[in-house]
Amino acid sequence: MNDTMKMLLKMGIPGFVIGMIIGFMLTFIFSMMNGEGFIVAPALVSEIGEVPALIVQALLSGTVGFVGTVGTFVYYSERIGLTLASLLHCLMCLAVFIPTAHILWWSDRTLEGALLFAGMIVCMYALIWFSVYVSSAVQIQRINKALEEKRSRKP
Amino acid sequence: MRIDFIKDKTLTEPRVIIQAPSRTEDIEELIDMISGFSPSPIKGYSEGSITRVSRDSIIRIYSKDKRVYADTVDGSFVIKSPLYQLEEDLPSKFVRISNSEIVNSDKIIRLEMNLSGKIKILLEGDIESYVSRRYIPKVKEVLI
Repeated sequence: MNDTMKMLLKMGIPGFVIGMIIGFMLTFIFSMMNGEGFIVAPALVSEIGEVPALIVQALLSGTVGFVGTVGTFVYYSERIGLTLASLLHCLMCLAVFIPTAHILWWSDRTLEGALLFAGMIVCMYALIWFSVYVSSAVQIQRINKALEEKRSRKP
Repeated sequence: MRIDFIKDKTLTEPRVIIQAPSRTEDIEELIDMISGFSPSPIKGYSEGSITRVSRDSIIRIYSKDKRVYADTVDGSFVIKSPLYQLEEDLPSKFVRISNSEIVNSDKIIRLEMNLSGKIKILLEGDIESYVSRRYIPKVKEVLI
């Protein structure tokens, strides 16, 4: 096993577990908001049964977590900027999130439902990108100010 | 005279403490001698000749195609030491800006970020390069 594989597994396994936990938590929270708490969507249970529904949800939400954490490697690449890294990570997550949401009934099984779900994810990424961009811009401004002060101190 | 060496990984550069019953002429001489000490220059290779490159003249050191180069105010040189070793040997004003580059913080003009989120660094001698986001805290630490 090479170093890249080791690193992917080191990041991906905790990501899988966290994704699984978040998947169950989100299903519970959203169902609570609709009146009754379930850890798996009742529509999925009636479709394939309780135990298979639990297994499918664990595997799919874990996969979303795995892709989300392993995909962070794009942010560490020195070749691509923050904007492209955010875009690539967003696309990677959308590729697994949309089918997962469809299968697990996290979104309506209609085109509108899928688009609404994708829109929410894209908005989340836009917000994260904006906050990271602004924070980097502030840091750069501080560095430039320090450089100017350093220059003005020079005889 | 007794000489002790104490290893301290928290220090960023060597620190010399002289302990004596009083500040005599000999001690003053010793202080002057230590203060005037400068590490031996780095050997730079260019077109078959070897040049002694002073650390202060270095603008940046970077690796490209498995070779290490130093851009200085007097020109560009090939350096035989690996980048990680140079990073250890250079004074604390040198800061790593990416996996393949170290710059002299005295030679930084300014940093710029474009909409793509890439951070450009402008150095003396009209040199431009890019800072990896994860090294920004290090640059900040050296300058602020």
